Amino acid sequence: MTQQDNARRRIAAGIGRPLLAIALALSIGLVIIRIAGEDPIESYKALIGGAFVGRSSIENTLVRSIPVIASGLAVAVAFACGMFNMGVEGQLYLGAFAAVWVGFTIKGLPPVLHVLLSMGLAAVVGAAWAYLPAVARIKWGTSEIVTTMMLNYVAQYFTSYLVSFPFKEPGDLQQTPAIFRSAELYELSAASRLHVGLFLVVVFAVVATFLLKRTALGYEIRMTGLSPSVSRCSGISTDRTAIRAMLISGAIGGLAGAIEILGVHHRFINNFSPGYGWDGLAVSLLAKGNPLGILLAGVFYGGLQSGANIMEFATDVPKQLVDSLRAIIILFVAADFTGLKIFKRKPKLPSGSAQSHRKEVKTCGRSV
Amino acid sequence: MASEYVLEMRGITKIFGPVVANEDVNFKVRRGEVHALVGENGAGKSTLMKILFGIYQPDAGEICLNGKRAVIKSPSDAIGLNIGMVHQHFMLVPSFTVAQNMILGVEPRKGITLDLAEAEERIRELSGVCGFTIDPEARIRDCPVGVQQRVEIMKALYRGADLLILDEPTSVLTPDEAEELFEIMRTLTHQGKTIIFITHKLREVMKTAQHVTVLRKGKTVTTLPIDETCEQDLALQMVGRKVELYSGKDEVKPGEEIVKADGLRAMDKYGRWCLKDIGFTVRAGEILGIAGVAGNGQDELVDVFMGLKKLSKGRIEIDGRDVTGKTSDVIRSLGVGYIPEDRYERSMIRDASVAENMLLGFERDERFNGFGLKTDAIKKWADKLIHEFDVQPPLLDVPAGSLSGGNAQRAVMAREFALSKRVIIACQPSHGLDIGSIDFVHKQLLDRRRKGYAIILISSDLEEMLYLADTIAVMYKGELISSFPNRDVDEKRMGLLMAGVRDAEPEEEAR
Repeated sequence: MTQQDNARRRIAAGIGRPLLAIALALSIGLVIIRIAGEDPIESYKALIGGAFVGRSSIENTLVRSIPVIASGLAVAVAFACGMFNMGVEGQLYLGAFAAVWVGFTIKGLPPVLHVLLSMGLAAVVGAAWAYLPAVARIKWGTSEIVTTMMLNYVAQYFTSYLVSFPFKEPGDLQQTPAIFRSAELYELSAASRLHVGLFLVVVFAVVATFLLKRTALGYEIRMTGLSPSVSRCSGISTDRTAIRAMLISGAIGGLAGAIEILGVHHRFINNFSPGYGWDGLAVSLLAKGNPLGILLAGVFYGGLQSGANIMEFATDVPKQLVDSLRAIIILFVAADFTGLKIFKRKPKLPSGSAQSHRKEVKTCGRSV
Repeated sequence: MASEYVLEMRGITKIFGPVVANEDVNFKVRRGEVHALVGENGAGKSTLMKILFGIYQPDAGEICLNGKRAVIKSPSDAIGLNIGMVHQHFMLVPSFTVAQNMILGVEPRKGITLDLAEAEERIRELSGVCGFTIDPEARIRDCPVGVQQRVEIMKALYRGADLLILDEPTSVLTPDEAEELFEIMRTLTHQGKTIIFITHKLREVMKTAQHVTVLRKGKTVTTLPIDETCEQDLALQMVGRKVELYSGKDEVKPGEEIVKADGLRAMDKYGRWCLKDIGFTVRAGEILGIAGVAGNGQDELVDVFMGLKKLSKGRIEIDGRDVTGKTSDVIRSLGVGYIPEDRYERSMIRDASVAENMLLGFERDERFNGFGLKTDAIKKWADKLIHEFDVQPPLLDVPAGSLSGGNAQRAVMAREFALSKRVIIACQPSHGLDIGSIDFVHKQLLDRRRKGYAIILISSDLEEMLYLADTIAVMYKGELISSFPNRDVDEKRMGLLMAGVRDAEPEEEAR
């Protein structure tokens, strides 16, 4: 009985807190819009309507959420192991490029096979890109937070170079030739360009859940994340586990790029990602690393993006407002984390605050 | 009327969720006495003291200091009311000097500069009061544990403490150091200080306290003057039933050599030798006790043995297999059970469920891992383990961090005994446990000994060592300075050895 209660409470907290963060952010947005002299209600109507009302809105939202969800899953797998993969954006770029390369160079493959091959190479490239910082962390203790982040620039500029010179399609645009039809992901809707990537990310989320909760590797990943020292003492090779988690994370990051490009753009366009990898980080944080939660949070984030465009058309509120909202949401979700930690630590530090300071000085004179 | 009680805690109740940690607890301490507070783990001793020190707020009840009602909202309030606490884990900055540590947070100033001279002066003054001297300029990291403890005590006095709480102070000390601590406690009470002495060791209670209060299951059982009670009586009061500690032990004839270690050398992270040429053997059905004060290389010895630390030299063999330089996963897969001292650093993951914790080290076992983990098999197995070892509450889905110390230790033992094939390493297995659990742990270890396991026991508890071990080796500064069959030692000689005094008695022999 109590166990069920506990589980229910945990789930409630898991959903409740992010919702609270969202509600707070939206109310702050309200104030911002008001100060800017616009009508907040109208603006929000446009935002939400543009995101979730009507078939085309929903489809647009889903298109935007696909890469975000995949990136979120990538972050979550690494995070379960206590590793911060801030490099999803870079893995996404390289993965996308690898997929496109397979897509336009290899000719005459049957459709499914061609897609699989493209995605396979994207996964390998993404994993390899995540492997470097993982090994640096294990061998020399280099912070993977810094290295993964720095490698993003390397990846992004490297792909920039590739589409500007060796693989540039003749013409003015910095883009590669289009991929063959056989490498394209099946399109569900021509108008919104919604594609089967949607189902793929749902499958990914289910697989990620299974991996983390129901396999020995996932168990080792989670235990290593919860306590590396205990895991090591219990005979889990924590180094190997951490590297594996990063490999999987990087592979998903590469796949995120592949799905976006094979499904929507059908060619590599310079700087095509508006920060999907970063949105993935945010979404993962919002969902506390729960893969199914990432599906929901990803759709929400996608909705904010696509709704923002509509809002900008319909009112005078610029879509950058939504960037602020997203930042504020993350701030609240993160604040919730640190807030708890401070709360827990407090009792352990008897002398530290300025207040206790004064009192102690006073007693000092009185003593002995 | 000035109360004869310096402290009265009345009707203290503290509830954490479903757990009642303190229920209507009454606790009175007379001025100038040593008042022992005893009870099993989870009896509510530390909760009560944390309430007194302002770390927790009581849900009901009141605290009176010197007959006046006091509200203690934070540790700084408590310090302001002249209460001092010496925690089990010292709160000192190792790279600072004694004087610097002493004044941390209450720095005396001269203008805008620190007046260290003044601080050192006051420390010398206090030394007179306490009956011990400390060099104010010594660095903490160079001080032995016993001295660090004195620094902690003096730190509390420096902040004006009249009522001192000592939380299991002897658990880190050698027998001799403990004696010296008792002497200091006597001096302090003669100076009019009052001491609350939290301990598990009833012998120490009988030796030092004037009154003793027993807590059981969050309630006050009794408060007695020390001359109206005895160890057995206190044990009975604490546990609520009769426990026979250190009852008999079977003769077991040791079999073949299972563990062989030879010439082990290793360095600590500062590049100093922490293991110097250590060699020993453990046979089937034998318990090798490694005695010594904590911090003399025992941890490092365990680490190299478990493959958690690199050996510079030497060779380790388990069951005829050379495992030198193998990592922990290989060693564990050979069936070496490991019961570490620090549970939540080494054997139990606080935030993982009990079931998940019971799977540690077994996750690749084909009984539990096929295509994905076999959840049902794991549940069934974990359930069996925690029932066999009577882990309370017997729930699989609660986080391991919610278990009390004794129950967490039972869970660890259940898992490690299930994993071990022939070898068990137990480090301070009864550290911080209550009498009932200690008895259980001892019985389990002896049972495995009977079944022909080779057991390495590392403990700084002499009584436990003399009871369990067949052979005792004393570790001092990274060396095994002496090794002998259990029957050849007495506590006094062990105490000397643990303090590094190599005696010249003839039976010293290295094996």
